[in-house]
Amino acid sequence: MAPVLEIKGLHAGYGPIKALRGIDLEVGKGEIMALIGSNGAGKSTLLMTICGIVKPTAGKVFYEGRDVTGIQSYNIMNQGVAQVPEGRRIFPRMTVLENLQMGGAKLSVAEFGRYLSWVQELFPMLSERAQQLGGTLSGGEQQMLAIGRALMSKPRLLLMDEPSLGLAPLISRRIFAIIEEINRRGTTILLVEQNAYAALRLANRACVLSTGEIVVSGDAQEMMDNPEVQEAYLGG
Amino acid sequence: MFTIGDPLIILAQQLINGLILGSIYGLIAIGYTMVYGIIGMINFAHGEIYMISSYLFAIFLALVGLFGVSSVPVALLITLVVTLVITGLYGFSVERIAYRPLRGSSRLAPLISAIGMSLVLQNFVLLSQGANTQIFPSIYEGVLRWSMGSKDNFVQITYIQAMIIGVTVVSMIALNILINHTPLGRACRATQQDRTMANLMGINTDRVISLTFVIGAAMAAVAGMLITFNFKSFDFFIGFVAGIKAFTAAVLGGIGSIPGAMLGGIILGLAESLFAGLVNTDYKDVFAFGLLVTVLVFRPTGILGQPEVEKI
Ligand SMILES: Nc1ncnc2c1ncn2[C@@H]1O[C@H](COP(=O)(O)OP(=O)(O)OP(=O)(O)O)[C@@H](O)[C@H]1O
Ligand SMILES: [Mg+2]
Repeated sequence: MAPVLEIKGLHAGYGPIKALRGIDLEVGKGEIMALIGSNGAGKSTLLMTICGIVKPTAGKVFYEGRDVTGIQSYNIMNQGVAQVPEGRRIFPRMTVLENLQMGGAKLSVAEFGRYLSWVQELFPMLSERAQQLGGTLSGGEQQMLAIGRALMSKPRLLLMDEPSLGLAPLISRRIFAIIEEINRRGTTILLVEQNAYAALRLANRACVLSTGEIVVSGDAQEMMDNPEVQEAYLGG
Repeated sequence: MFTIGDPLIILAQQLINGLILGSIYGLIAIGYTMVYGIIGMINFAHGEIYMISSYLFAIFLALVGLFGVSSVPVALLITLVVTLVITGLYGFSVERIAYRPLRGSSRLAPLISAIGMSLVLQNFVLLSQGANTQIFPSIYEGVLRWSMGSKDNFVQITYIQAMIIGVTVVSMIALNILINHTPLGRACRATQQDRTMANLMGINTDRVISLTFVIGAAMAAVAGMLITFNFKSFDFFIGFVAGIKAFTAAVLGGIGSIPGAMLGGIILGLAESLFAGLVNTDYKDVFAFGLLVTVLVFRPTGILGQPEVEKI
């Protein structure tokens, strides 16, 4: 069976800046793949290139076996990909409910109802604050909304860009538990995380990105024991 | 009780006139404000829609008559639909020709190409229709009058003016429902607030941008048809002045805000009419622009425009 996501020799950047220099990556169905790397390594760029926002200059992206390289972003996302982007990017002048409706725009009424109650069960705050404007939520609440909004689109592949950034430890742990739960329900996840320890504990496999290249990759457990990774990303 | 030329009567009459003028400004201003809201640029080819809709309205009404449609409401309805379709197409083409190819270039470039398009259109109409003022037939004549005291003292509104107010109210309600309560409207607002994120939500934002130009054009066309009905004369140059006034209204109300555009239009229309009726006709435009400057001094984002209040 084709992997959910397969990336071959991917190059991308912003004008003269080469942010990705030949990425090869495979994410199998039902996996959690962790992507770690220091600031500016190209993690967010990789997610944006998979989604068709940043256009690759070379290489290929396959989603569920189909070549999606260079096609319009909305086309890729409508095939069952969702992203929880860096900085949350909640629609600030829409209510919480409307933000969730944006996620579930393609669902039938019945399905929308089912997914909405599931998401509101995961994050009760989203039903209590249904009518509050997205822009007035706290950072942590926005992160929950961003995850909820992505889940509303019933994704088969979920890309998450630092979901625990700026969250209190308690909330952060809750988010990781929820990521696990989402994955248990069958969603394949590519998780970018600063908190490498938490990410490696959660993931099946992981890779380390450094200045646009994958320098280490393998089983998450092995990575945790890898002295190089420990030194650079797990604080020795 | 009241005497002829009673200031109160003039005031009441000018309020009605101002409301009508303001409705027209407001309808056109919506196109400016929606396009600005979504791509952050002024559509300088927008005023011409008002002009071509006048021509289309007159031409197609005559054509429909020639083809033997004798019922006036039916003829009007057919003409209305045809005019909306053609002006909608014009709005669509402006975006495709003047704006989309220039995305990512300097902000000035699309403005120049849009002005270019409006000049082309103006001159096309000038060459094909001539520079003369065109006359529109009188339909639905009649006035409603309220007398005040004696029979020489009255405030009046023509059927057509009443229709202008009615059609404006209905258009605004329809637009409000579309924008605030439908998936399509949500897609528009999402695209306006964060285009990349809207893309990531599976929205074809190019189509949404096209749609914005088309909706704006349709609203301006409604205004153009209504005013043609009312004044019964037009020429190839009316789009320019109306465009500037409506643009002023959009900025006054807070550019980017749809209720703001309507409010700005009404305030501008009222201010102009009251000034013309009670003070001086020649300086009404000076007063209107002065009002804009005054408001902007105290509220730089316009009356209903909100400064960005985003938490990152
Ligand atoms: N819009 C942009 N224009 C120009 N350069 C950019 C842009 N976005 C990112 N870059 C550059 O591309 C490189 C990779 O950036 P990217 O955001 O992918 O890093 P990252 O791994 O996500 O970092 P962080 O952990 O800080 O989020 C950086 O050098 C960055 O400066
Ligand atoms: Mg990043």
